[in-house]
Amino acid sequence: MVSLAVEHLTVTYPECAEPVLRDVNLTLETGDFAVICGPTGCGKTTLLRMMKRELTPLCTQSGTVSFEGTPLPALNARTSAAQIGFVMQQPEQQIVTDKVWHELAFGLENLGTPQDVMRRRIAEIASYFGMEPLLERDPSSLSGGQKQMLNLASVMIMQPRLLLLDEPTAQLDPIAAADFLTTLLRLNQDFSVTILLAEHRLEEVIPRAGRLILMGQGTVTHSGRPAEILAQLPPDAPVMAGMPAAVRLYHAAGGTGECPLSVNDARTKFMPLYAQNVRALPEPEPRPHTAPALRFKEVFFRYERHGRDILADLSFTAETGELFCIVGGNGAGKSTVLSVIAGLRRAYAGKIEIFGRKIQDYKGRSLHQECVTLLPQDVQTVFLKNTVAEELAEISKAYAEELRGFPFDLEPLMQQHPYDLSGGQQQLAALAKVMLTHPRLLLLDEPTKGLDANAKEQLAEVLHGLQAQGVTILLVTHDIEFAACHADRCGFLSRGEMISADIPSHFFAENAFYTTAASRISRGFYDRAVTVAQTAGLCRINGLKAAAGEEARDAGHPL
Amino acid sequence: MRTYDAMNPLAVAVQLLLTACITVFCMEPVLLVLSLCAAMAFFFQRNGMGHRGFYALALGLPLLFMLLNPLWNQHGTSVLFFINNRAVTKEALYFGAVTGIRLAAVLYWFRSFSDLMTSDKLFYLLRFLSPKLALIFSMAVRNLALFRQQMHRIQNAQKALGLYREKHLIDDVRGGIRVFSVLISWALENGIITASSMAARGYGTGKRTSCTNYCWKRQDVTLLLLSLLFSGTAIVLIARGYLERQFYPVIQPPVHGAGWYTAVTAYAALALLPLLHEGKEALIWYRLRSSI
Repeated sequence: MVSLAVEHLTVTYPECAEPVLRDVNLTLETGDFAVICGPTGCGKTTLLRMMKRELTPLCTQSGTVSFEGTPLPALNARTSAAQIGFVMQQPEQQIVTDKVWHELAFGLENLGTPQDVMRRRIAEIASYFGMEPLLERDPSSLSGGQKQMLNLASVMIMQPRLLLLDEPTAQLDPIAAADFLTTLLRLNQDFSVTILLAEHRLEEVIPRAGRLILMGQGTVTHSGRPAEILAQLPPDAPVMAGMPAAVRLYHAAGGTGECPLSVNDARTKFMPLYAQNVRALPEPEPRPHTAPALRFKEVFFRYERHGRDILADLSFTAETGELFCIVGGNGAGKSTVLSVIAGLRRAYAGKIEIFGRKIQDYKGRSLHQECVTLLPQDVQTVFLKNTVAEELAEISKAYAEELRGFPFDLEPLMQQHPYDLSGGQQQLAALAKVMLTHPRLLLLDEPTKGLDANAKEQLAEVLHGLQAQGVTILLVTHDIEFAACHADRCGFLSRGEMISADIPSHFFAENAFYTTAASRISRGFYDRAVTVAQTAGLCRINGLKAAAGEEARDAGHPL
Repeated sequence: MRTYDAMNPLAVAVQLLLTACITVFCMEPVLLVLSLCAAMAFFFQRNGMGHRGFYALALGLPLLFMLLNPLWNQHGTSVLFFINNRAVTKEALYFGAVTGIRLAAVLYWFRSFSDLMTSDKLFYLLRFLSPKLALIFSMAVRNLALFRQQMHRIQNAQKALGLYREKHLIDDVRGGIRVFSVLISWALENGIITASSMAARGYGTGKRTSCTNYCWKRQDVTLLLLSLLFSGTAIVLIARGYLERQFYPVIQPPVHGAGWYTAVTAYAALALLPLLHEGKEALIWYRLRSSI
């Protein structure tokens, strides 16, 4: 049965010459699990909102969207609200009430459900989502992952038949995101809920999705089984950067045989095709040692006198001009390290030296003035003004002059409100603002959160540019792919202690579980190949095994 | 075991408020002492020996009022002695003490009321008045907390950006104003997302129902009916003047008729309802547990 049909949909926003969606056609069968992806600004969000009547933006539209055969405008208001569920990106802001059980009840209350039915449904859904212990809690005391799960549950309680999700995991850490996606798959399997998911965190989703829909500039460019679409996609397509490591490796190495989607596929079907004469790339030139910018020596910190140590015996050194990434699980103390360095919290024991001076010797606010700057995780908190230009002018009138060396052109953003920028643009604008304070040590907390692959590349470019100007960067992240590609050194923080610190190719090669997808793929075939580029490089150097090459040629695949 | 806490909030609120209100509008010393004792006993049953300072009130307030009242109040005929040419009368002392007891009793009842009526119970009560108001209340509670959190975050972000100059009061005040103004934009921005989330879940599609955590069990209905019965009896009799007392110019002896006894008994029953409930539950629990 057809769950959702979009026919010849063209959408134009008021005061815009170009339509944002152009003749979009799309059909979803009941029980489909479809992933929609495309670069930021390609119209994904608009398309999803056109499918949910209550959220349809103000626009002129032609063409139709129908749900189970009925055009959306003809649907009964309550049917439309209940049967088409919608989950947005921001975990916190979607929550309406101040109790978990009440949040679950909210949708049912709106539909006028009788009390006894509501109580039963809440009990049911809480048990399915494992939320019973949380029912009496205040949602703001939950973790980001729990909040987003609550948002999903409070949509599912209305028993929707179609579920639309707009980048639901963008603000979550990898473990919470994986949990969330697994729950989606389970809902799809258990209840044949049709799911349409817009995502740019594709590593785990693509191998399990039944359908992949690619969008570019307001149209659907590809739609079909992921393996087929991804095999025929040009390697330089903009969406490629966000694809699973297996897919990128397949294309970067030249694309032989069937396109692998998961690590398992790549290890069993793709890697064995290649010879292993050269096991490793030559070691990169070691970075020349420089004076330490930051030195932690046996530092201890806890929030409460009788609490547990969040930082325990933490010692490490970051050198001047280095990009040092701190990775680690949730609650390992990563963000705490940054707030201690930024002087927002004080360690109770140990020694912290910043550019050779003890942190206590930076009196008053001299630490923040032209020395250490922290860019927090919630980057919106940096902005105070109505336009980006005003933000920058606030710090320095001659911002245009000073930002000449900034490796990103901010000019098109200058007159916009900072809140209207995309996540990636916000990050870059905030970085520009930060750079005007001339920090020598820049602290970044999860800068890649919510960014798509292209925005991450831009960010990396900007960071390398800053490094070239002599800025030391200490970056805390969950994003190990980003750390592997761009860090000079990585440190693994666990339970408040720096367990190991090394250059990425050693660091991730030695980790077996906490490591990049590319490293998991190449493990055993090649040594110290931790990024897709390194693995693909080795594949190309080695070439196909003779037998494998013939097989591929026989099967008619291009070499 | 179902403690008084877990009873239906409406029944509990009716019992506590009626008990307190009758205390406010009555000057019969026997009834007031009863009220204070019941209130203290209930408080003790819930809190044990904690809150020592609060227990001191029970003795302190009557004493304080007894000593202070004669200083202002010159009514009464039985003069005990003079201070600065002002007569201290027996009636004024007595009236002061009774007022003190009344105040202490009311304080105890309201303390128990505020301990028992946590925000979600008040919210439940609010729904009887207006479900819409209740939703707004719930959203307001949530948003205030979010505001405070975000304000703290923004301040920290600005501090770590080095935007504030070296110890500079005017700069700090200006910074505070900026943070507040951006907080407003942030709230509006977030409000749009919350509104979308509400619309997406069918808000405004017609008549709403209201989900509650509390239901009416037989015990709750019994409690409510008993509260109404006892308080009704007491109120009617008090209104008829059976508990009327005159302190000035001379303390009139009470008329211990059938009306007086009925009113005081009814009130005693009302005030002791929470304790009777807890006692009954404890007894049942004790019996059940000994059979495990």
